[in-house]
Amino acid sequence: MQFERRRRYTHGINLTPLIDVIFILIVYLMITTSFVHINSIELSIPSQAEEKNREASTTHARIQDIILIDIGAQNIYYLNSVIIGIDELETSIHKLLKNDKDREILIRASKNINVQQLVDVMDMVRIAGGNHISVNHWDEKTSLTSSTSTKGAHP
Amino acid sequence: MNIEFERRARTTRPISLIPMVDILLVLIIYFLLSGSLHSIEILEISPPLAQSGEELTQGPLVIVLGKHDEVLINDELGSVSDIFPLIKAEMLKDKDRVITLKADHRIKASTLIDVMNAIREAGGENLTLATQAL
Repeated sequence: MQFERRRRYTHGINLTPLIDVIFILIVYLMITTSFVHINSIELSIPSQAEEKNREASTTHARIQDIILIDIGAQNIYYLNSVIIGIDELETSIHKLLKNDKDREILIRASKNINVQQLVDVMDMVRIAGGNHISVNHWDEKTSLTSSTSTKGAHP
Repeated sequence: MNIEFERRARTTRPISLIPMVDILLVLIIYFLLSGSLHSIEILEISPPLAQSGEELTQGPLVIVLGKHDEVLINDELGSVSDIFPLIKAEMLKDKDRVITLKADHRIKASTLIDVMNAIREAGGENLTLATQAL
């Protein structure tokens, strides 16, 4: 007696479900992946006790030692109350910080400027080697007792 | 005269999907390696550009300042005046708590300075300002 031989089906593996899954993964990754690299500037705020000590020690000499950068409303920059171009700012700060990198730098921002302009100046100071940056509002009457200090990029 | 040509047999081979799977897997690996996953933000902000920024060390307390002066404190809508009591309460729990400030580059610097001053007055000491790499 002869049996009919069963035909061997040599179908390939069905890849369609695999492709479906991979497509879903790609769409998920495309939506959730961010190519914008978020960095940060570390800020260290002096505690209130430190601040009080600083205020108490505010002498004429100390005020003179502070590097003052003012950002005016129409993109006018002042370095120690003298108008300065944005291109010269970095080199000038670098020169001022040559002998003492720990000199305090106070950036005062006018009401109309935006965060990007302020961060640009902070960035410049950090690149120039500034360690102690304070930020405050730009107001003629504002005293020099500020505020928020940043830790420099190049201590 | 009647010439009969032999008809060519039609070969209907299925399209091979293997190269496609290869390309898709390469795409997946590319996305995994080149990008970084981020949680979907409630408030889409574009941080200021800075060259000297360092790797972001995001603290447990995040304050977001949106481009229309919205204030988000740990994903909850608030205002600048809410920052002071919240930070004060947080500082009582842990003095060294890191506060991350994410501000849109288009907002007024005075708003940012107001927030910084509020944090300082509340006793916050460790603050990081998010920036975008150039």
